[in-house]
Amino acid sequence: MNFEIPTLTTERLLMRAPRESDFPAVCAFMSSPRAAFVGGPVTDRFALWRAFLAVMGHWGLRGYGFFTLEHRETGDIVGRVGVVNHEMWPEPELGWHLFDGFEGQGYAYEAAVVARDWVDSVHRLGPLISMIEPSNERSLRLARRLGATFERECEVLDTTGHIYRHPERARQGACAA
Amino acid sequence: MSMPLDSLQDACRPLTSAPVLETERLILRGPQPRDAEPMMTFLMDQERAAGFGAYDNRGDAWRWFALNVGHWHIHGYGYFSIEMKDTGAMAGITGIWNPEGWPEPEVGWVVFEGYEGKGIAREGAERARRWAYEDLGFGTLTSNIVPGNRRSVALAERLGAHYECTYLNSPMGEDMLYRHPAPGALK
Repeated sequence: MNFEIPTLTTERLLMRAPRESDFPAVCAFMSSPRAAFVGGPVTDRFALWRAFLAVMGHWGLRGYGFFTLEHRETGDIVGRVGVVNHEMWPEPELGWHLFDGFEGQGYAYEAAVVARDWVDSVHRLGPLISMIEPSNERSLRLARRLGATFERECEVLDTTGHIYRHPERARQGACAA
Repeated sequence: MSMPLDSLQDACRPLTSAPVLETERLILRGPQPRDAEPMMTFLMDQERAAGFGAYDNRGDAWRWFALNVGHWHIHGYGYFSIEMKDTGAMAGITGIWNPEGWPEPEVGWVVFEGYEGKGIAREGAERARRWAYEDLGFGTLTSNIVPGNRRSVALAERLGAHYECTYLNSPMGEDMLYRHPAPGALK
């Protein structure tokens, strides 16, 4: 590779570069009703493949992107968390999605905190946003737990979302506590 | 117009481990950030980009550009950018492509507006094919051509490929498969 994708660790997770072997897990998630808040469900395998490979290109172009979350003990692929800034995005976004069977255990929070710290220390992008569909209760709760607050509405990919703004780094500890 | 050196370096940063190949008039090299704009312009051209998705927005076109970078990382091959030796301009893409849903790896090519009819696609595709045979060890290669694309059929035939069958390519619909001469037949 001509660019580095770091491997980060949290208490329970390995946050690493995407690999081809992640594709079945990503497909299963993206084609399920659970993907409704991240542009899915997508059933066209070609579109799934395109989006999967584009994650790697995103890392090359931006220097940051989505990490695959791998459980350190079981090796399960539990989801993806990272910072994305696709063409047509308003600004870099801290995003997360967990695959079926791995919600409700604090994995997204655990990885989002580490991804946010990492991107701040390496890229200094300033306070990040998260774009959340207003009916996505789980994501809203996580955003608030991460200390993010509602800022404004936005239109992305023909959907109305709510932009939540994460706190400055110095304040993150206090907000997340 | 001059760019600050660091942004120029960033724009010319290799995004893949693709080699740099040369022909008489062309340089084939891996995608670099500066190729994103000409590539997006091409991909949003509804007529010329029909075989590549012909997107109607920059977001999807950008993802295609990013996906080619991922393709290089997963397969070790992908589309090269074709750069004109004399002007440094990007004239098109050629390379080896193997997406989900494709029957087998193919040699692909396209030249941008203003670069057709000069033998650029042929010069580039021949070099990419030779690289796949000699450096990657491929034993055979195909090209998928959408029925009705007579320019591409003519080029496939000039490259020595012959029509093998028409089949249903799940992402693209009806497609014609051309088979290139084996490595031994080119020597």
